[in-house]
Amino acid sequence: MVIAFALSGNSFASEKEKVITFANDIKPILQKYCLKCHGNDEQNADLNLQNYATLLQGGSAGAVVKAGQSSTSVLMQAITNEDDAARMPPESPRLPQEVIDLIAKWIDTGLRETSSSKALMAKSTLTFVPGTSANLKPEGPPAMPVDLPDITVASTPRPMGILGLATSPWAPLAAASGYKHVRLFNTDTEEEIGRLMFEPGVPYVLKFSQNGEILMAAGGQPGHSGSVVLYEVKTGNVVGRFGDELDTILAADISPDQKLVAFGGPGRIAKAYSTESGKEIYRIDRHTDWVTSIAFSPDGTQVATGDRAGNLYLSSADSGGILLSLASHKGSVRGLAWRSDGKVVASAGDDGRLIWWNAETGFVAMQNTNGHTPPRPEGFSGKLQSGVLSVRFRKDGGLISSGRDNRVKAWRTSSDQTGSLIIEKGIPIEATVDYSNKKIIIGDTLGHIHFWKQ
Amino acid sequence: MNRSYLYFLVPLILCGNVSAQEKQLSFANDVMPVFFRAGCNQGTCHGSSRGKDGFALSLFGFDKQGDYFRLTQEIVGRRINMAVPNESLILLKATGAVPHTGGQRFKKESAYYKTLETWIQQGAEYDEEKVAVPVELTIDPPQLNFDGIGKTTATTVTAKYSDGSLRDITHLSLFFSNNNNTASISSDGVVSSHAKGDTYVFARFDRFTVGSEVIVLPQDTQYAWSGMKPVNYVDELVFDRLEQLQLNPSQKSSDSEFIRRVYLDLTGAPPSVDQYKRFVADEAPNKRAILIDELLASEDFTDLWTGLWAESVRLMGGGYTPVATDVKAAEAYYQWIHDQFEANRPINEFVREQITASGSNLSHGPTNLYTMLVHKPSFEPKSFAADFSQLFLGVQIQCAECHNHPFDRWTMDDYYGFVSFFTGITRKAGAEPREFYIYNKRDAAPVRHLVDGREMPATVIGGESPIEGGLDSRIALAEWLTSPDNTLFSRNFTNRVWAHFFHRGLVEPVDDMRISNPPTNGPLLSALSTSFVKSDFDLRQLIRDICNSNTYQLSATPNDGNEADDRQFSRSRLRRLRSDVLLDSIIKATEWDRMFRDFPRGTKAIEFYPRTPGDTAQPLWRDDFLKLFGRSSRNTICACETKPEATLSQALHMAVGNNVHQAVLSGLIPRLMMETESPEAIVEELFIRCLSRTPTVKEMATMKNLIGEDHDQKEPYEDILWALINSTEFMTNH
Repeated sequence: MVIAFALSGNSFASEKEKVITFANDIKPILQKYCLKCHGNDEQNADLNLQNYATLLQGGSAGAVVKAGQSSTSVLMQAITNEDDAARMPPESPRLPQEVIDLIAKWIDTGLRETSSSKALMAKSTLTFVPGTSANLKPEGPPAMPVDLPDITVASTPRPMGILGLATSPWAPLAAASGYKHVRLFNTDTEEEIGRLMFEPGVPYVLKFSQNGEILMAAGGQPGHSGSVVLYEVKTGNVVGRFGDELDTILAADISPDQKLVAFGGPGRIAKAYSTESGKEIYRIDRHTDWVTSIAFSPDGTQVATGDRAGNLYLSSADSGGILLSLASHKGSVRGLAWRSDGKVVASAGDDGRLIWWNAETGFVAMQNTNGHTPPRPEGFSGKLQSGVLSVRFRKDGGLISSGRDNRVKAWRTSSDQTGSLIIEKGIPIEATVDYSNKKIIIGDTLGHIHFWKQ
Repeated sequence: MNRSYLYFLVPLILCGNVSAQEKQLSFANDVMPVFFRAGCNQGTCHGSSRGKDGFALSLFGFDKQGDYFRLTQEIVGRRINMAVPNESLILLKATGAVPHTGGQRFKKESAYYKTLETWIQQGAEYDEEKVAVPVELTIDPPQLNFDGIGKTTATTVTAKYSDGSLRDITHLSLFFSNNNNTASISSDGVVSSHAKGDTYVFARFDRFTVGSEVIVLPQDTQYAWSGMKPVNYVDELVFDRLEQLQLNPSQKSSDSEFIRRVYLDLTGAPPSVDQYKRFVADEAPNKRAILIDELLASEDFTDLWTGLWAESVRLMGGGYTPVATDVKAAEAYYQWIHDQFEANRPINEFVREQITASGSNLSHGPTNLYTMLVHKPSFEPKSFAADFSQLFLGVQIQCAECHNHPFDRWTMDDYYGFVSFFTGITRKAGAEPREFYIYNKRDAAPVRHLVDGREMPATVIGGESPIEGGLDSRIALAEWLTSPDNTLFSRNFTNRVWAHFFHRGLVEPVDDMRISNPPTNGPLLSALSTSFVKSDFDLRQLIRDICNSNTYQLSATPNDGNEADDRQFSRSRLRRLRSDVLLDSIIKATEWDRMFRDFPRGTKAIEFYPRTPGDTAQPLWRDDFLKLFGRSSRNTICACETKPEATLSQALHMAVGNNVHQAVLSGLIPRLMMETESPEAIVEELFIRCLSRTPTVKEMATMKNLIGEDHDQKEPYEDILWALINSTEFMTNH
């Protein structure tokens, strides 16, 4: 049908013009060329083109579009300016003529926001009602998928690395990243039992809600877009979608009461959204580099956020106000996990440190600085990659970590290692423990899932 | 219930497996060059030390292993997407498919895209075996002569690899021209001629830079050589070059032009009246050569070169004992330098003795090379490496501390190997607080390489293997450095000497010799250097060759056609006097008894160096006149510390400042009035004193007018002296 439009002659097209809308036609253009400087994260000249409302509002010099008057609209003047130095986007070739024509047409046909068929703006306001006993072990049988829709996924020459991996606290269920989908496993049978479409792109983060009924997946397309999606575990239905980021999401969590999702990424800001209203509640903007880890405390009062520069903060989960700065990491914080009593938060760092923090004082309770340092190859004097890539607490307070030394390790304390497993091929980027506390599930860069009884 | 379900597998990429014929691409030799060529790893982009927009590459690719890690493993699945190669961020960003601060670097249809995509499809692997590395780069043609403006010629760049293979890497090279107004070079290596002149175009690839000389001559010009005959090899090579560029030299200088020039350049002040008159009256045909020899043998010559060397090694005397640069140490060093120049010690021996010096800073002068280069309480091997290289070789090796030298052949290995020569240099307290013993610990550990932490045993720059241990490593260093075979050393020294006489080195700046900064006359620099080595590093002989050449003795007046030349020496260059030479010129012309701080009466400005009761680890002048007129602060060894530019404050100081005022009132005028009868004679003497020439008829008439009928007032004479000192003619060498 679309092709028919494109190829058909003027006679038909002029009869029934395709409606140009902000959501379908203009937003992708703005996203590609404009939003880095005039978007939600940065508003040069006070101009935010990311949302329909703020676009109409204009910038410090007033409105940038006038309905029906493309030739006098500042936006058009900016993108068609003959002067290379003055034209937008800066230091770039002129936008393709078809793009300019499309924007002009959109202005001239009345600045439509959406067509009736598909409303993009609805994406971020998909409502979700938290369960009443969200943070408790559910009564009755724990949530397992029972009726997943059949989905079609793209085959890829190589599997996607397991960028995200999570286990249900109560059911034999694990979720792992696939390409534009989430892979589900039964951890008892160790079989792959289903898939969930992840429309935003590649899921980088997967988390189950504390009661195991909601699965959160966050990710997107690098350099392009990012969102958080909530699924109902039983049905696989999408029950919420949040965030409209300009890059993929690298860190996210859902609060124990399911009222908040918090996420961050290359934008250096951690944002908390209300799952009920779909609105942003607060931001944590103290990070000086990409936000790489986020975890809510078990009681839901605090949120820990870590970044690529090694900054780590504990903030109030209500307001985002910073309570403690946990300063020690010299490299990216790759993972954060709370002990079930909420007294200890553990962090995995690409600087090779695995740290147990006293969450009440913000001081290091104990640490291991070379838990994942690989053995030095003979004759090699350079820097060894000793990064710790993931960390999870077990229900008994023990800890699981994985690192660049191709090992997964189990710890009772920082000096008491209780087990170690070598992953021969691929780097174990994620390792977690199942509901029974006995089986460790590992995901590696080559897309393999490993099960380790420990 | 274990629900069975169906996978609908849609082929996303049709050829997942690369066909067997497709060559396995190398990360080092195929992928890295794309980052280099596309500009990804340059200093303003991802090659910056902190990266850009969260992604860092090593500058110009010096750290391949680190780049591989950041690309494939730092944030898995992002920059390289193994599952869906063409969704790798590296490709999306480079082609501008997603917003990229650096814009579109190449198109999806380009060979660069294909290389990266194929490498990812093949598994994005690091080179397993040690791959062949580029060892040599050539550009063809190596010389480009354009007969006319607006013409083009394509160049081809070829890399030779360690396995002997050759590869055309024109499409992977970066090109630049040293002068785009003369000839430019496109990103594809096509050279275009724009204006008459000569320049170089360069290609860069991996750690190599290679240049091709471009000469652009206009079409159909009427040119014929009309210059004088060469008197020695200097003339032959300069004139060859001039003829090649269709230039003619200016006339030969007059006697008064010459005597002023040669006195300023060889003794640091203009001739006295007697010296002037004697020379002008002399009718011997070889009187210029005789004068040159006479001046080379003078005390003033020794003082001048002692002062220049002292400045270049940052000689200063301080009162802060922990830095070991006590006034007594400075004096010992100064005196030692003076003795060497006086004895015409061969320059290689002179340098060697300083490098290998051990002992007390107070009693053994040359040990202070070390204390003066590092005005700090402890020695710094890296400073020594940088300073030795810059001072003795004219090479800025310190660029290779953090990355391979971007515009020369030096690598980080060269840098760290060189630093290791200095890790053992140390000092211990002597018999009194001011005294330190300088020596070299023979078992000092070498430095470690910044990138991979390897120990880097002492190796000479460009050396293949480390020096043998055991001895004082400085002996090996000095042997290599001052060896007749080390052209870096002899070329550096001759270039600096040339720059003293022409106020422009054949390589300029003199302490930044590199492949991409070639000499304006390569054969001349080679010949000077060879001749210098053959003469057993005889400074005076080198200067004799230079000063006796017609090239040195050319007039500053341009002819029809060489007005624009400022680098081929077709005429004498007008140049401002160095601050100390200017001050000594004022002193000599006016007989002013000027005092220098902390120095005895009669000290010349060229002999003066900062002496302070405090610390010497900061810019120091200790003389306001010298500071104002751009003398080196001696804070670094950079040639750029000496500032030749004119400033407004200088003009104001010359006009109304107390130095010139005191000089004019020094007592010369009353004495001349007492001793000399006619006002004409006084005026003539003042002209000779200041300008090394007699006044013209017109000037004399103006002066007499100024003096008036009763010529018993000293003020008019003082005004004349003041005006002469303030003239451009006085303040420049021409």
